[in-house]
Amino acid sequence: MPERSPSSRAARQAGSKQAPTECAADEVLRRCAFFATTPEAQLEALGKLAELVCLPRAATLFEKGDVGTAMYFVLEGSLRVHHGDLVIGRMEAGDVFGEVAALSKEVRSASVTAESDSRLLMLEQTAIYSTLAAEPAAARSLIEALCVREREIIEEKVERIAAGLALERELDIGQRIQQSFLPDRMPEVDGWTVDGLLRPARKVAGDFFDFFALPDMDRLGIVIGDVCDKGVGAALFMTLFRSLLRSGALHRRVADSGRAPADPGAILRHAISSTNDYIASTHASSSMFASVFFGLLDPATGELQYINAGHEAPLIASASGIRARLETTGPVIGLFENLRHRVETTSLRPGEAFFGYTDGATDARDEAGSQYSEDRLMAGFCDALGRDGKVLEELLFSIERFAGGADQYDDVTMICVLRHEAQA
Amino acid sequence: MSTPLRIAVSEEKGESPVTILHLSGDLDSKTYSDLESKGAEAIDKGSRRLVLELGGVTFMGSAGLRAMHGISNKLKSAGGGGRLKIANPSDAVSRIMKTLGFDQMFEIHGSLEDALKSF
Repeated sequence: MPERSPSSRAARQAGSKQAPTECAADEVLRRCAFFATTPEAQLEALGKLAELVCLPRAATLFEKGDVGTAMYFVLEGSLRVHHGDLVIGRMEAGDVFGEVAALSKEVRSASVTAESDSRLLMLEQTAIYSTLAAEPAAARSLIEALCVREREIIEEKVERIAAGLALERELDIGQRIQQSFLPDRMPEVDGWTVDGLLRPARKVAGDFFDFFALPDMDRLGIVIGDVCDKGVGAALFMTLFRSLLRSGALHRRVADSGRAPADPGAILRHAISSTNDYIASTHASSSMFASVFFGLLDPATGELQYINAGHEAPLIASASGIRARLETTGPVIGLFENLRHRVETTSLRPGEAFFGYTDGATDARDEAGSQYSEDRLMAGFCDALGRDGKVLEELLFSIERFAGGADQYDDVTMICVLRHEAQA
Repeated sequence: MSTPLRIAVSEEKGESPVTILHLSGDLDSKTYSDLESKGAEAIDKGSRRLVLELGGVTFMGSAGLRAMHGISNKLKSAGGGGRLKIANPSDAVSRIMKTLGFDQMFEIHGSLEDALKSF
């Protein structure tokens, strides 16, 4: 039995040829289902046409898309079947591969690379077809073996589809549970319109917003945040950040009860620092963090105390334009303990709105890759305020129209707290 | 189109040796784990003084902060009072660091020379 390197690429990587090793090729073929109905004489003839291929570790036998005319029988070693870095399967002694390209004009459907020094038996298309021409009965086991492969592929596909559907159901449940971490209806506050929306890019989101009342001090809590990264990991942390922030604010109220006057600044600092310190100390190995804007609004006066922990600056604007940007007053939270955040105070005048958003709104891209941009978002917000419609829905519609058919890359979250014009 | 992240490692010899990771390209969600791995590799080899030289970084997303936190965390658990410093960020990268509040989380120096002197 001759020995050779299988292709020019493998030959380059294989280095010098190894000495031929004794191997009864017809024995190997006899054990293979593909040749179960091939008569002895043809098997021996085929065995003489088979070649031994020695492939050193890390050498690539062939790559996806290569034209190939041979099938292989693994005698020794281990090889991975892959698309780039994605490993689809492994071949070890006794495995057969490459038959589709060997028996048709199809190119290689995957790459094969040796994971250890490997020895293979290679059978060329011409040898197989000459055997079939001489002994048509040999075709039966070849066809049967191909049918077995086909059935295995179908079964695997069915299993994958079932697993995919099960995962999809799990994500649907996750999505419903995550929805329950967002306000199910907007708070009704005399003289104000409060609204928020979140469009996840995937089933679950890392963005969040929250509105909640601190009833005994007549303040409305306003929160918008964005957990780094996307998908399930970000969604798990979203629930943690949102809950700790709300709990931190409400529990501080309990601790403060009886003391007067209530201090919104102390509540904000406590909620932000307790959330930050807990996540930074308990979940340090995850390196997950969130940018958060947390404000406490006094609806009677329009006064707003806030901490902006590394979040895109929310705006105070009216139909005639932007009056203020509420820039960051401290770092993002969740990574390092004992951070300092400044509390700032501003106010909303009649006819003005507070507008908070996450970067999914400004970074939305159209099919050409252009970003919706902060300028468009700001202009769109002021325009929408000038009409009497649903401001956030109009804005979202505008973002979606801009994006056209492009995939939504990131979660889009926006909140708007509008102070009505004073009644005459 | 994003520019691939490249990380070159150099050593500043002396009484207190410093390992410098010179970064160029985009530090984003696709590449931040490469930085984390390089940092971990240096710490595993015994480095306790690290500088991230960001002169060539063309874009840094929030994932950059995750990588830096990961390195800082590993330094802490490796013991020996390790320190991580950041040097030479471009104006664009400085703006992102300011928004995210890096100044409270890391020591940042305008030049590599200043960062090395500060150990």
